Amino acid sequence: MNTENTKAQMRKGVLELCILSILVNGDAYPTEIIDKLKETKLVVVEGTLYPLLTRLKNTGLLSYRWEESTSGPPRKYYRLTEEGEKFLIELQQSWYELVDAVNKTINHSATQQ
Amino acid sequence: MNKTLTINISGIVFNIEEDAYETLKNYLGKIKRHFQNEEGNEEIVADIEGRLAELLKAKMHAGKQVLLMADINDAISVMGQPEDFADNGSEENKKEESHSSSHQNYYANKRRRVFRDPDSKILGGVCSGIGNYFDIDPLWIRLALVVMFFGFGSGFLLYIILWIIIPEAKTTAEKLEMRGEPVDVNTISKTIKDEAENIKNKAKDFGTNVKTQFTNKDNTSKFVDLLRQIFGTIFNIIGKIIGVFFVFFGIVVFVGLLSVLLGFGKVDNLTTHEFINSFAGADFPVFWAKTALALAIGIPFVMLVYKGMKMLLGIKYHNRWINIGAGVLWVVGLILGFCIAVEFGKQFSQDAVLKQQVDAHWPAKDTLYLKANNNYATVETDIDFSMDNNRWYINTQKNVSTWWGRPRVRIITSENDSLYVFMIKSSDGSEKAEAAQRAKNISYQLNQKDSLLLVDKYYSFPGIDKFRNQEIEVLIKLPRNKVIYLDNSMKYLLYDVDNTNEIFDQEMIGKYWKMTENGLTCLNCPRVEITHSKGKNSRVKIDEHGIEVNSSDAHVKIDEEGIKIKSKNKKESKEEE
Repeated sequence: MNTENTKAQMRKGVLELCILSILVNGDAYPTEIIDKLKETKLVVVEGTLYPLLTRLKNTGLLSYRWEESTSGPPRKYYRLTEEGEKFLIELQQSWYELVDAVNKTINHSATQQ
Repeated sequence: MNKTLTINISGIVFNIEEDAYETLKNYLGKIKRHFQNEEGNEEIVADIEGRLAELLKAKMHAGKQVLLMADINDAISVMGQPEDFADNGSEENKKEESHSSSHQNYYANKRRRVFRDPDSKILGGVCSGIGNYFDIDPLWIRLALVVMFFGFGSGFLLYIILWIIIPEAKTTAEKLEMRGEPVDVNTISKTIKDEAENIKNKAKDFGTNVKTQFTNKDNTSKFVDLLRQIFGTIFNIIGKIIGVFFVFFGIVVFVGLLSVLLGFGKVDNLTTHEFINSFAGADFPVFWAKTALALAIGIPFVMLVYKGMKMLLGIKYHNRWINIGAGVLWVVGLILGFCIAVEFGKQFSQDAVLKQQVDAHWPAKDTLYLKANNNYATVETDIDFSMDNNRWYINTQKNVSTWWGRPRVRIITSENDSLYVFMIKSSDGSEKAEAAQRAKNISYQLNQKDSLLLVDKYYSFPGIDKFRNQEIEVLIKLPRNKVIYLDNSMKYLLYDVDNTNEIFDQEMIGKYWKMTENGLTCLNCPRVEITHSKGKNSRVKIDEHGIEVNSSDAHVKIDEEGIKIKSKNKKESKEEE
């Protein structure tokens, strides 16, 4: 069994939730989002983020605005739309439920062993 | 010393070393291809380029002016390789990436495939599946098939074939594929464009790979991949065109065959049924003969439709049992057909010949005139069916069909000084008696009135006797040194008449013939008949009328009227008796 692969799969599943959660605290541009995700080791390479952001934006959960930057090309600042906020709440709920359920299962198995 | 290039990424200008540039270019190319089929792919690529520009800009501090290989590699490692973007949402794509070195399945994967739709089916989900594939309301396809069903069941055949070759969408992935990118003119042109782009990129990749790495095996396999992809695309398009042709041709032949078998076809003016009845008796296994015909001819064309459909819909899956089953049925059809043919052939195995002498005597005059009497029931053009170069006809009057045939008239030397005329009737049959009865049923008349020997132009026999090679031969035994005149009406009746002039039977008419030791000799045929032509406008003709010379500027004619000479240059004309 490839542990790395399994971990990657798990990370992938929660990535959207994390991005939305970061943006709920205020607008951010991709590099900022990535830095935060990198801290938590959720993302290894930056390239992962861009298609995700575009997809979230295209489904209407995010919007963005351009801002000039001194250190390079203009940056896209993403923000959560109303729809995105609703979606985030839903996602958070099911996340807690899921974590709960998974924890219970794991702990239950652990105590039995 | 290294060469540098100036590039522009997201509006920021950089100086970059040549090798670093190559690496960056390849990397961006890879990214582009990776997102090729993603929605908003241009935006994603632009975002990534923007970020790369930012990362690279950060390297250009403290008086550093040129981007080096190391800078590019740093930026790439931050951004990551496309295969590390565990993001594509679908597991499938990732798998595709990792397990195949070739990118040729990029679009094939996303492309719509044809499946039978189990969710909105009436019978097998064929129509709704095809409707999905071509983005047409399945109702129209159902209607078309129902209409074709009345076209001798071709709709039914098509439906069964489609049911067999189109797999059912069972998994969710298959159901998604069923509704994938539509197949229409736009997507086909896009597909071709994408494919061309893909091939171009691969060719580029291949080029740079050859330069940078010398792992032969890898390159060879990549090159083979590339070739396979190029030819694959070409064959794919050709295959679809051939597929359409196969389906069309197969259906046309199949419908034609069915209409003939079901009795809708025509053989000349006869229906299939009447045609069979003209030859086959009541004991002929019509059903089995039709079955044999349907299998022996139908199966190959059904298979043609089957293969064509598979090519058209791009179905790769093979069903061994279909091929084996079709092969077995075909062979069964051939064997059955062979048995029936052999059985039918027995109807011709025995023959009977009835020879009867006709009252005849040498006339008072010394010439016998042989003439044909046109006894055909109606006008000669009223023919329902004819065969063997118009030797036999069928004519139907008031639902009674009659066979008509042309007798064969032969003239040979008599053993003595008398004239003998024989009428020989013959027929085939499965038994002698039966053949004899058929021969007897042939009606034919000939009689002599003084110097005129009048023979019927046609003999006839009832349609219910069926065709069993019924024939009439008129044999005239002509005494030596007697003269016979062959009337023009005898043209098609004379058969194998020996003559010393060695001219064809049909050319013997309208002439007087004298019976000699060596056969008939023409009394009023031209001695020589030479037609000689050389060049375009010059012609020399020698025949019974005289001699004629025609050329572009002169004309000479010698005949009963005298000698005529005409010339362009000297306008003179002579006429002498």
